[in-house]
Amino acid sequence: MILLATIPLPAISSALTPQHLPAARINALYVHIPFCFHKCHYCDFYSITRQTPERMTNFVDRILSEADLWSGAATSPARQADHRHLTIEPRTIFFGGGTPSLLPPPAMQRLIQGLQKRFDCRGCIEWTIECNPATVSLDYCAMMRELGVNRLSFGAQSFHQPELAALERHHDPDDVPRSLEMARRAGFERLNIDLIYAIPGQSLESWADNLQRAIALNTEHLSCYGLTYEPNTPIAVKKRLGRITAVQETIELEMLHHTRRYLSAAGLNAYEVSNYARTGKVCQHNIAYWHGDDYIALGPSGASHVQGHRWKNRGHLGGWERAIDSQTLPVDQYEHLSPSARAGELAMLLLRLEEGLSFSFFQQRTGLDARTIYASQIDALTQAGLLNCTDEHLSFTETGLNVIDAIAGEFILDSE
Amino acid sequence: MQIRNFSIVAHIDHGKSTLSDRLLMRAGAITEREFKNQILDDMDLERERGITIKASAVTVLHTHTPAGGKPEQYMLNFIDTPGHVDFHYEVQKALQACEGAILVVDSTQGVQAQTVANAYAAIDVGLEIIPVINKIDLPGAQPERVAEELEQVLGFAAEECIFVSAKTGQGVDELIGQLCEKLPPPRGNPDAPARALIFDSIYDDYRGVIVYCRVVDGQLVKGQKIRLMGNGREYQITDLGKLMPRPTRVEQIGTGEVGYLVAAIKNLHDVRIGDTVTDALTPAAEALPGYKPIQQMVFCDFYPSGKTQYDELRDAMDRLQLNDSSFTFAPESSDALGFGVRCGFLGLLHMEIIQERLEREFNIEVVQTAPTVTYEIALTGGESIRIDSPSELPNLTHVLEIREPFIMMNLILPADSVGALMKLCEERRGVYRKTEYIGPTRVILQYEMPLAEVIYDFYDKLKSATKGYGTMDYDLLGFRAGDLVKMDILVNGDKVDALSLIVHRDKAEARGRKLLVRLKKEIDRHLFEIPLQAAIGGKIIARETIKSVGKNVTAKCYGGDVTRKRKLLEKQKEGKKRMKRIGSVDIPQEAFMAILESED
Ligand SMILES: Nc1nc2c(ncn2[C@@H]2O[C@H](COP(=O)(O)OP(=O)(O)OP(=O)(O)O)[C@@H](O)[C@H]2O)c(=O)[nH]1
Ligand code: SF4
Ligand SMILES: [Mg+2]
Repeated sequence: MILLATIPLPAISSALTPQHLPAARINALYVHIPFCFHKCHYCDFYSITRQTPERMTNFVDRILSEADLWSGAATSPARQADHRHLTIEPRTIFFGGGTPSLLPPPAMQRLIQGLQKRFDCRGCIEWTIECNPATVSLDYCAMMRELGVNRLSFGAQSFHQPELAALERHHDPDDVPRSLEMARRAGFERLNIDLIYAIPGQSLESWADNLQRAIALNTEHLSCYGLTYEPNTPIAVKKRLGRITAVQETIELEMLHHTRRYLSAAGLNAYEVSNYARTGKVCQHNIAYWHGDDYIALGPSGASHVQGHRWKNRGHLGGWERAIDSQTLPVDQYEHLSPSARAGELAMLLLRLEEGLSFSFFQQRTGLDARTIYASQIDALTQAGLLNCTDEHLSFTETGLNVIDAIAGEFILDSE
Repeated sequence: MQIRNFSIVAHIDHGKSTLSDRLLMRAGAITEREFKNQILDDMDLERERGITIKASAVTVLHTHTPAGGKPEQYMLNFIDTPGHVDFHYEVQKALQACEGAILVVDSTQGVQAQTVANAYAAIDVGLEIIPVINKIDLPGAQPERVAEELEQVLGFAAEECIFVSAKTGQGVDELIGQLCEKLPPPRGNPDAPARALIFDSIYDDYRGVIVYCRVVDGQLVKGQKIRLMGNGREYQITDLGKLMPRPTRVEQIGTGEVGYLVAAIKNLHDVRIGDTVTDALTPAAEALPGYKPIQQMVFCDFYPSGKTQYDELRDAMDRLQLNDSSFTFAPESSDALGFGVRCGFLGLLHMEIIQERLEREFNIEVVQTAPTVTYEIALTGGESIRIDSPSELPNLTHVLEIREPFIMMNLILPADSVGALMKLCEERRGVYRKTEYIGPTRVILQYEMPLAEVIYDFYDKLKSATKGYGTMDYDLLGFRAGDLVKMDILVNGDKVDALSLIVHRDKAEARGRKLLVRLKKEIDRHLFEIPLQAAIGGKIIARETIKSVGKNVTAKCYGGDVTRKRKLLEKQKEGKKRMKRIGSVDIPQEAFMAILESED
């Protein structure tokens, strides 16, 4: 026993410090707030549900400590010296979760102001907070607006009670218009609604009705996600046991295509597989992800990327808390992508965008000519009518969209 | 001491190995328990399949007292042989090392195709044959009737047959008596320079090549300098032994005896089965006749798969060949499958066994292409060439005719299944020769057949049409011209060389259609529709389509966790790793065998 204790364990999490990373100016910041009111049955995001107000308050302190590790304000002199070359100057900030709106207003205020103190946020053009439609109030909205938040995203998922029940989602459909109304009154000009389609029992008509109601709420942005049965979620288990039946694939595809047609007629244009926006209102933070930009995440399970270095924070609140308390980055899974892996990943991301892969953008990011390295894929897939290829862009066709994962898979380059 | 050399031959499963073990037991060489374990079938594969694959030579000592005479010591050297038609070559090799043979017939089965074939093989090399009717302990045994069949079909006097039960030992003493009294002693000259025929060899990691041989003239002694007459290489014998049946050291192997030698031979290729070992200082003038070259009947390619590398495959084939000289292999490459080896086998079972031995004994994984026969191509210039792969067929403008191997096939059948078999043979382009009755209920049916029509599933069809009672044997007749064409298979417009085959024109369309249906089942849906076509020349004769994937889109929120998304897609791709990508289509290994199973 004693012997064991004296052998130093390989320190995985402390393998990464800011000074290991290349010089970069980071413009996107994500904060994961892992608290939920109740766990939805399809969800595989990291969140806990039995949080005390005290733990949430402490959480804010720790997020700010984590921010210190990056901002260079950390007290340890060893750390301070070295990362002047890595600066975080957010253009976009995204609070996701979990349910960020569960944070008590004073805690939220401390969090926002704390970040503003640590990072230069003057250039921030988009600050989004995900909200549960059942938990926001007018005061809360007004406070956030005042603090600089300018975009709210509401997890509506469905306007039909039975569909919400199938997802084990605890809010009243009427909460959504009410919350949006409050947000508008508080001065928000950029609002999003998340919807889920292909919920067990949902018909194409019912989905169309959901869309109609969403449009009536006149948001600037809509995210429409197809229900995904993630391993080990209750809904996947129920499906396996035969207690629920997944919507047929052909119907799910019809739902997707109906969504595209219908929303575009309503002025909300698809810009990614599951995202729709009015002109000029796309979510810049998401675009940063999909363009392979650099971003830093704070909070448990948050994923970061700096110049081909990718890592994920510890996925458990306790582990994350311990790492922060010992003044180390709570890094869990870290990888440094080879140039070819990076290129493949970027292609995968860009191809999911409506605009597709811009050859010049790709070249500028990777130094590689996509037309050359992907010649055979482009050839085969354009011939099969799955991709369109112009002088500037490579993008999916309507049939290509149906199999976009498989297409993207073809562009991932094997890393030796 | 007297010496007797003999082989035990029979149709498959008539009890050769059991009888061999019984002889060993009688001579006190093995215990009752070892007898129960089929001691001579020592390869794992032999035990599992319950068949003998390789002949094994053993030596026992026995004291025999002839009626009214004095007891005398006999050294019995005998070889248990395989019964399956594919291993007929092993039998022929064994027979050449002997003066006599025991022909075993199962008293419940009667004379079968390999009974006849093996009897003729023994007669051909002038051996004394002792007919033995086995399994007389079984309730259904009809030894007298079987003795009559033997008389009728092969001309042995019925009363000369010895009735035994290898299982209980009944009749075995009489058999041993006759072996000692009836079989001639070896004829070699003990005073001539040493000549020993190599009939087998194995490789041992510590001792090098172990050579099994029969001494025909002179003797081999420990320490002797020997020469292999085929290549002139010389070695010194470090060890001599006999299988009794355990390896047992001896100081010398005398004229007419059988044993093994070890001489620090490191190179597998220096030892050739059929070569002659002689004394290096006083070499014999002439080598022994050796063995007739073997005729490989079916050919296929092995390509490394899974973790196996090409070099490993080659090494393993090298080693196996030392132990089984009856298959051939040569480097081959295919557009579709890369580097591999083209192999020739005696038959399908042989092919299966080699593949299985590669896997078990050498841990080698291979993709195997469908087996084919050798074709003789008459070229317009008057020359002719032999090809054993459809992809080698020259451009048709140079081809005068394509000839295929024909065999003379003997079927022994219950009389009531003759109709069904005739129909099967006609369907397979057989040419009827004759029918002969063996007793009232059994028939020998003779057909000339294209070998290609027999190698696929003829044996299975025969077994099912005769409830398992039908047996077959064949001899190669030669090559005959036929209306043969090369059928190409195109996957997504690309010709896949490893799937090409030569077929009779009349059968091409049906064959092509079935093959495509099979391929369709084996190849996964892709992102695009995949047309499958069978073509002769440029003409499409059959087609199928594999529909494209319907849905493969995840409309999920991944946020910044790009790694996760990438890993998921990588996993999707992973499944394709073990496939061969041809053009843009991933073809699983099973598809290459689709040709084989295309008959329903
Ligand atoms: N009842 C009975 N069964 C026997 C006798 N001799 C052999 N068998 C059985 O017959 C089967 C075949 O016997 P083997 O000795 O393996 O036959 P084989 O001729 O060596 O077979 P191959 O090597 O495959 O050609 C085995 O199940 C034996 O136990 C016998 O005298 N009586
Ligand atoms: S609210 Fe969102 S994060 Fe929380 S359990 Fe439901 S889906 Fe998951
Ligand atoms: Mg046997």
